Amino acid sequence: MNSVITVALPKGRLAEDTIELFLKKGILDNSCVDFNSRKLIFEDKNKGFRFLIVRNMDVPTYVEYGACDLGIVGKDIICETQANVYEFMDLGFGYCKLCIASLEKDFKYKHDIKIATKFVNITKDYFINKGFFVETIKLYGSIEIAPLLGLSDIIVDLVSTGETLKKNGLFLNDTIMESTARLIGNKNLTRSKYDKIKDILEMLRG
Amino acid sequence: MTNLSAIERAKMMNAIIGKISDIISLYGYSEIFLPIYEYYDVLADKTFNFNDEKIIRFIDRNTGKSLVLRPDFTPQVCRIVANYLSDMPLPIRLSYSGRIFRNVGAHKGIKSEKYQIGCELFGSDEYYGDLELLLISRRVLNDLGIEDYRIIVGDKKFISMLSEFVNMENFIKMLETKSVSAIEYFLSNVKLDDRILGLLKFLPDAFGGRDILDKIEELSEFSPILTERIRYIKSLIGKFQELGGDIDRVVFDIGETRGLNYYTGVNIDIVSRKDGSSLGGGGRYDTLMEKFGYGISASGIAFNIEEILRFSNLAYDEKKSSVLNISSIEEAEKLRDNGKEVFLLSKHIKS
Repeated sequence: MNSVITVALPKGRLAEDTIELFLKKGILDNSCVDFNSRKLIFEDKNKGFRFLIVRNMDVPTYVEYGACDLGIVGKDIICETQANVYEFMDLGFGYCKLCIASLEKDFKYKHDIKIATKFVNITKDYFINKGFFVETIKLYGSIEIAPLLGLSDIIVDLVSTGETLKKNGLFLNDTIMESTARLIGNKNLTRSKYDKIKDILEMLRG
Repeated sequence: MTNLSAIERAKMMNAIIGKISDIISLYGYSEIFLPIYEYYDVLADKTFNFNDEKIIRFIDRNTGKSLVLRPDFTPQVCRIVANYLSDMPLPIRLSYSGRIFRNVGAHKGIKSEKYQIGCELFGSDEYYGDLELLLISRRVLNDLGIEDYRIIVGDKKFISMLSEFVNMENFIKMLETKSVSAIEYFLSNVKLDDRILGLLKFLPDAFGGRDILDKIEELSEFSPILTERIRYIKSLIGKFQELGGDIDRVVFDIGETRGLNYYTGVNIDIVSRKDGSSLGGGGRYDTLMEKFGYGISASGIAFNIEEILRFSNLAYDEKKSSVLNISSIEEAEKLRDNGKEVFLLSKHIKS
């Protein structure tokens, strides 16, 4: 059966690394994705691929609901969205840490602290497991500003070098999880298109 | 998602429900009616994938007990069989049709109710029971003109047999997401016989065509019970094929873990290859009836009508309502006496 495999890629560096990996492993011959264009859908008719460029938080949704067969996304996003998908492999790139930061060097957790974050589910789970009831405030970006203005006591955010924290006078207090890019797949589509998907998995492992 | 008007949609739904109901009858099933709500206690440990977040419940004002809008028909049918039909000769074949309810998260794009039609078989032997699930599925899908479907076959008996060789709890979690990286790492840290290790390593990849069964049989050679089990599945599928089953539409997934505490043998998922949506599913749950105090075997399958609606090319009955320009109610009634459908337009009626 000659079917096209649709892959959801998160806008940015992860998408570029993925295409590079696919080229290296011989899954693609040449890149059909032009990252400088404003197009969101790219097609490689020859190899039977379609790539969608979407927001990273949306990648698991596209895959879980079968709009895409496969997706590339960070482990942090998979945990946050709790999507019911296959998580075939750790691709190794896209490393980052989900960290707790505040204005104090040694922040002592207590009940009812306010936490600004994009990752409300992970944050709630983390503090419930520690036995603290906390209030989360969902923000979509520039999280570092929240403690400075008194919007929150601490923040939970992704850190790669720690430069942004330092520039805004925040201290790194704790690391909740480390994350790398994963290849995910829709459960029913993976199995019903097994011929093609298994080839891709094999080439990526090889 | 569909271009059907409310009227066309209802006609189409009825046509599909009627068709499936006819097919289920061909296999000797009788329909029963079931209540829309059920006591929480009856369902709690007896329902597939039951959890408090996924149900819609309320309090019975007379007893103070929790009631649940039925999330699944199977435990209800089991309750009826155990309480009222235990003197009937086996096997018992019952079917049902109606809506099931679930609590869904906001912004998830899924509805909280869906229409199902299905059937349950009690007290039959495993081989013929399992075969019947496959035969009914095939007939339903073919007769509804669904083209791009796959029947995914898993086996919970095989998976649970593996717990004789390895502590499965952590392994199952990784297998659930077919996470090869995690499984490789996990297995490199446990001490196991090379032969069982070889089998476990293969499980995340154990989905595909019939060759998967050969491969699993080869890897299971060291264990007579595992070998026997995989041969059972092979003979089941062999028979299905012999009876005209399209083997190219069957996908095996021996690493499938969904419903491990519920299913006790073969389970099937019928999916659309277009978008992966679930058209139906079922399997064998031989320990379920014990919980209702009547320990007989049970298996069943249910079809999701709304999903099927999107892929079926069944032509619904376009009976032309006869003649519009009838001039009197008397004439219309006379035609109706003879079984004609009459759509009366008041502007034609002479007073």
